[in-house]
Amino acid sequence: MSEQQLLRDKHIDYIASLDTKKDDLEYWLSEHLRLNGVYWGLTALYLLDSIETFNKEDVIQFVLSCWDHKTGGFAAFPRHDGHLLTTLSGLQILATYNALERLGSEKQEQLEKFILSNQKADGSFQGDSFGEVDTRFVYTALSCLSILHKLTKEVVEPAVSYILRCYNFDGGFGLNPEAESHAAQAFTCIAALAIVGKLDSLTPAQQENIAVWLSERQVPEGGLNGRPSKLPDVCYSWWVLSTLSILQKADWIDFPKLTEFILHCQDPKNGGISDRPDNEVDVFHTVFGLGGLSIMKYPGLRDIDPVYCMPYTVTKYFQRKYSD
Amino acid sequence: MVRSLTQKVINALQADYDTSEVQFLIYPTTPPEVKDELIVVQHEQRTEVVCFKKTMMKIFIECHKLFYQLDSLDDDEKLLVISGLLLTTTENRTALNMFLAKLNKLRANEINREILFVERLLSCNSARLNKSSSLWDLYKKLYTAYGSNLKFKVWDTVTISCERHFANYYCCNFIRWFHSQLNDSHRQNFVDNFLRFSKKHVNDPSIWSALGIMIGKTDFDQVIIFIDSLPVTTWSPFLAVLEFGSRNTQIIPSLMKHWTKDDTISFYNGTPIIPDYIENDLNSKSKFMSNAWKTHLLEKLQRLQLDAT
Repeated sequence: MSEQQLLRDKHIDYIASLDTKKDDLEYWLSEHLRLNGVYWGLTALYLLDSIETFNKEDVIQFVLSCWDHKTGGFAAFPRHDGHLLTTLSGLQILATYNALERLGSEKQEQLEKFILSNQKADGSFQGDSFGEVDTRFVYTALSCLSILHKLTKEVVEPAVSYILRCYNFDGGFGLNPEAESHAAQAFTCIAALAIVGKLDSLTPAQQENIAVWLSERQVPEGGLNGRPSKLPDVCYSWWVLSTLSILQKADWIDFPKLTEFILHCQDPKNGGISDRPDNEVDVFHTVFGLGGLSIMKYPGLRDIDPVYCMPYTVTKYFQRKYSD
Repeated sequence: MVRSLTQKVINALQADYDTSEVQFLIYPTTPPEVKDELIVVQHEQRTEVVCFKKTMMKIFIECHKLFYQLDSLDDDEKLLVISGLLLTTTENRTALNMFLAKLNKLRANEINREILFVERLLSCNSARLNKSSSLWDLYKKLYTAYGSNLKFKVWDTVTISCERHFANYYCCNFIRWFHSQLNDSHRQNFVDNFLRFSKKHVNDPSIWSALGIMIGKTDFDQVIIFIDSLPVTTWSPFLAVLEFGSRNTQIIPSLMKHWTKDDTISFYNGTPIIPDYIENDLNSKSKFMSNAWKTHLLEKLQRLQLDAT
């Protein structure tokens, strides 16, 4: 066990403080990421077994205020444009609070329409009408549809075929076919396949190859990087470890060394976790650092579903397969 | 009314200068002797448009306030506000959508300015801007729409961006896409230049990995000569060899003869473990690392060959 300890109370205080900094310019500079930030904060609090730190009703009201009636999706902040990334965050928050019914059937239908409207002919997804295509958005779309119980063969089969085209010979996945392998893209592709029960579309040899490439992300100092020759970064504790966990190969990572690395990235004074030791903390690295520790069964942290980065008690109600 | 600072900075980023190379630089602190919020420094070969973090904050404050009053602004002012937000808040989906909608209404000579603006954001020294996935996607859209009739400085944009940001994922994926768009006559010239550029960035995995999908057999032979000549002590150039080998498995047997595996070398998840006794001996360490990466490569190629059979 590491000499360092998890600074649970400080992390809770740090996350609680984030919404009280409205006089700071930084708060407004990150306005266009707010709904994602709320999801990261809420999930971090869940992991720390302190979900009540946020006021449930205030958070639900904020999510509902981010509804973008023009697109039929959730935006990052009121009066911003809806996007698949923020739509997933909105749904994740509502599902965590068991409040999906607050959407009503009309909005749920609009959401489905919005998500489906972003699927391209080759099975890929764009994030919104801007047209950026990335495997991140395939995961986001399938995760949203799974939460809404709207997965169908017509959507899933082309999406799976697109994901398989993004698999690279080295065992990684790129943001699109022919793109460089990246550990975060490995998560989005493998977790998307897991959501729709299609992990078996990868051969055992391919799964082994993926696990080898992912395990090579651990550097001798203990942390994980996203690509060869890059520095380690706490967020890959989640992207890599959750993917290996889905493939039942999390133990290919040296847990004590990774634990040590994550714990060294904590801010001992104000709480929160940074990308690397001594850097500035943020809520993104905090949740994914805690998520990594949770997969490694760090004492005192709650379990998390590696496919959805949400509580198992919530994800057990999601649609995991679709009828042919 | 949009305040003058946003206008001044955006104008500077859209301007033509006497030098072909223009770099946008944002520094965290303003030196005490500098009173201006924006400085344009003309060197013989290069022009630098220099701003400070404080400048960026002021632009954000100006534009953020007006973002919620857009309906009261005219078209030029709206575009300025949106451009100011693109400059100060990356991955701002709303600003990107608005910018794209505005572009569709501009005339060709006006689009030129916007191309320069996007190129200078992508090649600036701010990691948030030069690695922004949506800005690279915007550049792709602009090139697709106007690449045949308007001037683009793709080479300068991608090479400066790569130099500003180690292993720039989205930039290098743009390079892969751009290479695929070129016709045969331009393609080899691009590969030749990119091979020369790669040799100057021997540590960068994204550059070498991109090179690997572009090269033919003659270029591949040059990569091998380059690796042998230094010798190369980082993994990145081997990524190009591996990438090429994955598409041309017939070359694997000859590579297995050209280099030999050193089974005495130990690895930690693919990273060579340097023995303590050579840690401070630069010459021995270089030889060790070169052999270690060759060993690692040959193991991966062997695995590829097995998968192929």
